[in-house]
Amino acid sequence: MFKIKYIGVILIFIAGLFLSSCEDVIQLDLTEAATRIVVDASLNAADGECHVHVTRTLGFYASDSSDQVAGATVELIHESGSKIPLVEEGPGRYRVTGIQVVPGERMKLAVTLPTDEKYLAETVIPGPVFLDSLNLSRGIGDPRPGGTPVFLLRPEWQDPAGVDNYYRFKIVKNGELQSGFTIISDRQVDGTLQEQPLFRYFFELGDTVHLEFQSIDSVSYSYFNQINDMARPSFVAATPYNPIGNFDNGALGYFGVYFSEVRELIVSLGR
Amino acid sequence: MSPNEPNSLRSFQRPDYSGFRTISALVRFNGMKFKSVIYYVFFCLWFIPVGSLAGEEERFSVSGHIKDSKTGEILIGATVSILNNGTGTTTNQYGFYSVKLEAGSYNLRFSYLGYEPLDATVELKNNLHKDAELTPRATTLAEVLITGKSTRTAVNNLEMGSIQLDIKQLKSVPVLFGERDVLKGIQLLPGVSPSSEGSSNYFVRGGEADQNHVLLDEAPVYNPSHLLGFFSVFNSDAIKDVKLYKGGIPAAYGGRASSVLDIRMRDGNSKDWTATGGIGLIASRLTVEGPIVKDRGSILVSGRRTYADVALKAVTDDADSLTFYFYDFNLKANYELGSRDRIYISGYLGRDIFTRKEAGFDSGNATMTARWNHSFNTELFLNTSLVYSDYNYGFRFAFGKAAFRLNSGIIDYSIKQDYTWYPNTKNMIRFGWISTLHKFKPGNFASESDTAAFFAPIEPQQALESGIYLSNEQKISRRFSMNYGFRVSLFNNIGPYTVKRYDDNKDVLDSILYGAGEFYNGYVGFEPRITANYLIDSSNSIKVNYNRMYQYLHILSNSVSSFPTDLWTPSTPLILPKIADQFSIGYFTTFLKNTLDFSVEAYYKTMHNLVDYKNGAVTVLNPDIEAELVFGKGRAYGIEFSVNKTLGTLTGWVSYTLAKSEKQFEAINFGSWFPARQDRTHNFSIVASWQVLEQLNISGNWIYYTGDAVTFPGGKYEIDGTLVNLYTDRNGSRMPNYHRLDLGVSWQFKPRKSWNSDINVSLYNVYNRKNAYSIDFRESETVPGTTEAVRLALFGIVPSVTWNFKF
Repeated sequence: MFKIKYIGVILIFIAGLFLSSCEDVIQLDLTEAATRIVVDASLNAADGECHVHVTRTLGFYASDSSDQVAGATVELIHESGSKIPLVEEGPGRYRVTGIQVVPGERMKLAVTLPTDEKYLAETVIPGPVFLDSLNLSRGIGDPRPGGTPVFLLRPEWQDPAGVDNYYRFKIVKNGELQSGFTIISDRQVDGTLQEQPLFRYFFELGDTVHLEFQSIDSVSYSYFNQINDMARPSFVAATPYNPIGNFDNGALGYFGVYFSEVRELIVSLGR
Repeated sequence: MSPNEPNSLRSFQRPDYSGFRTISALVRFNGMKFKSVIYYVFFCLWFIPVGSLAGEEERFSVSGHIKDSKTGEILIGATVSILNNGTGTTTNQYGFYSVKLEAGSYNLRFSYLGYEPLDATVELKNNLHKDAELTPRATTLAEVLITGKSTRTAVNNLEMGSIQLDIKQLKSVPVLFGERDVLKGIQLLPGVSPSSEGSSNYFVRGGEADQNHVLLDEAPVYNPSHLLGFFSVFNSDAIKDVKLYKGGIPAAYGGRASSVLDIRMRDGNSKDWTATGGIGLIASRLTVEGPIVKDRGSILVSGRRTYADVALKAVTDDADSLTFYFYDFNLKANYELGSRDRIYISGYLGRDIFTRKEAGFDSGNATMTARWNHSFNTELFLNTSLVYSDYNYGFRFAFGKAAFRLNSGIIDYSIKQDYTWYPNTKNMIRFGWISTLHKFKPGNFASESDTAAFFAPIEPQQALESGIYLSNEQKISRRFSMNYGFRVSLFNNIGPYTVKRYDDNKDVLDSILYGAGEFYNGYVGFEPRITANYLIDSSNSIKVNYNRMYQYLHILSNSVSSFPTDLWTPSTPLILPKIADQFSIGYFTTFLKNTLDFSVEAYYKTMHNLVDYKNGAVTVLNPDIEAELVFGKGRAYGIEFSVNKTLGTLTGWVSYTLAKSEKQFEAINFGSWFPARQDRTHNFSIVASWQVLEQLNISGNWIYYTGDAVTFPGGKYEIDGTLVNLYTDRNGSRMPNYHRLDLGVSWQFKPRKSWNSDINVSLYNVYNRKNAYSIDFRESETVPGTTEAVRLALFGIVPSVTWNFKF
């Protein structure tokens, strides 16, 4: 969703630029929070692959980005009761393939640490939605000073009526994964044709675009939405909090299921 | 039922919320027993007639207006002393005074800060009309040194927690970009601090920024800032009087929980045509004023515009580049219809405009006040006002063939009457009423092309807010005086509107549709206001105060900065009115031959029904915004010290506040008390102005306050390759402490025959401290995989030059 607050960011940026603002890295003493378990788990229903990453939180200034938890027992539990174990492929990274699911069914993920702590999450498999087309659009910021045209991606799809749908766009531009979570809910636009551009990403002529269109479950949407809430610059962000996912027993992270579809294009004037 | 506990759906447990609930239930609901309300009202009513019946002897009134002899401007709060018996009074907001005395001969002294006192002898045989014109004190150095007694009456008067800002003194305070600003001026006062660096928003005694009522000639100004708050909308050339009430808020005011800032525009010179103005680095201003008919009416027109956009265009020579500017336009006219009637029209229009080829944003206020002053006789004065206020903002942006528009705002229409009755020298009774229709226009996206809207519409809302009040300022004995009274406020939501109930998943449980004009929800608030002053001797006094305030409009915002898009919303069946109770006690004294005023005031304040967003709330363009709210309470207490020097070559003040402000929400920090963002333990400011030579003035101010209570991360983790910060207690950390020194020098050029001018050079943040506006915690750009704290400092040292003229 287009966030009005971004206009604020732009304005303050302009004001700051014009004035004498400055950004610098400072050394700030932070009270270290108690370590918590994080489970980052997702199941791609389209190709039946499930990835789970189990870590512990680190101090803010720690130089590593994650502290892997090896030797855990990780299982997918279908609503029928059947269990599928995941295999540890590297420290803290667990994986299984060949999972077949049906939209509307419930799926659980159970993680048991070597120290015997147990964490359980549950979600409902979302329905698959596919893109009708992927187009380019010109708009804000176009053209750049000097006349370089600027493009936005404009995916088009029909939102199914009567059900809650949530979408995520994962974009790789010239081989580089674009950070952040671009997500959309149909909460206010149920059953309509979706064709708004993705304002967050700008492309120039010749860029290679790899777009993964995911129809995600409500758990993932809510979780990513909370992460986005925290990722804005602090003067426009909400009061900080820890995003809440679907794991019990105080674990951070989430377990989500999604269907995905990949489209690729090279930016050219003809499109 | 405990009246003010945090709640969510409680108000829905009542089966019917159409119209008012019964008065007794409501008043109890609002935290006060109906019986005690009746007792209090009875107390107020019982006291009032005592004085008026007391005068058996034949009494007459002397009344009139006090004005500036050079410009004809009426003087607000000027003193009339009856030298024979040591009593006196002050002029009201329209410069009117009235004193009732027994027949006889009296020596009156009219005085006002910065003016030569004027003595007059009157023979009172009938009611007498006596206007007085005071001459401003010359500002030459020699005369500054010999000026006599202070005319300030902080010790004697019945006001507490209120500060009248001296516009002339404000003119020497150095400020950002050299733009003199009343909202920056009041932030230097004890108990007041800026909401963030350079902001026009402020916190008063631990309250939130939306709890301050800002009134310009009685019209509420809903967003008093330009350019994200770096400038206030008040052009100081057009302002006559600024008064801030932090406590002891008179019964005539209502509608905000923390404070009232009453700003009065100048009336314009009724003697001669004059023009004043200034040329600054980023903005220029011009004010033209003069008589419509000499001594009977005047008009003032004032404008200000920034020209950063012009400068930027000249530098970048990019015709498509961003344009941004703001302007203000003030107009005021008044005319004396006779000795008993005077009419005023005042208006303000200001806008901020940011545009680029395919996207634009603009926002602004417009206010209009029409007033009629009427004295029925020498004892009873009435002001009737019609007030209009409009704040709105709009966006437009386009991509490809599609274009979208968003407009949002609030409009007020008010009618009010304020009576002042002077039954005798011991009592001054004020009463009146106000009724305001609020129209809330929430943000709605509209498509200019045929593309389907992708946001659900949000319904507009309407509400009627009314109040009646009665208060008496009474001299009970030579040493003891009181101001007591009450206000009853009423608030009604008016249809058409759909009231919804939500479950814990923010889904709509059910909804009730109310038709156009239907009053579907109501609140009544009883607001006692009482202040007592005990004079220990002529230069020492003790004052105590209690007041209760109701606030029916709220800004829903969860970010640090204030944005033009922060929108006012009404109380609803779910969003209860905020209630603040404040108790304060103060000691006031003057010493060194009345050249130094010292005061210490302590306050304790409780706030109920504070609103905050749930974690992860969708705050923008959300028709179900009420599902995203949580409710809690707050408490704030502190002690304020202030030393003020108003006379001599060196003037200024030093203030220090030690304070605490906390909040409690069931859903936050496991329901325990946590510091509010504005919990600034220490707040110190020193403001000084030194008249070195007749032409040379040097001024400076230094401010220091404890960093805001904020939530910093205590760790980190990774989700899908994205770094996420780990947080602990809400507002458990602190921003670095804030401090800053500003200096200014102004040089008055030798006055010419028909005009004079001065130049002002100021330095903001002299020692270039990088005060943190915000601190972000993010992945390092230089060393991938590591995290760092990044400070954003908005202003380093900022020099500015302004040339002011008058002819």
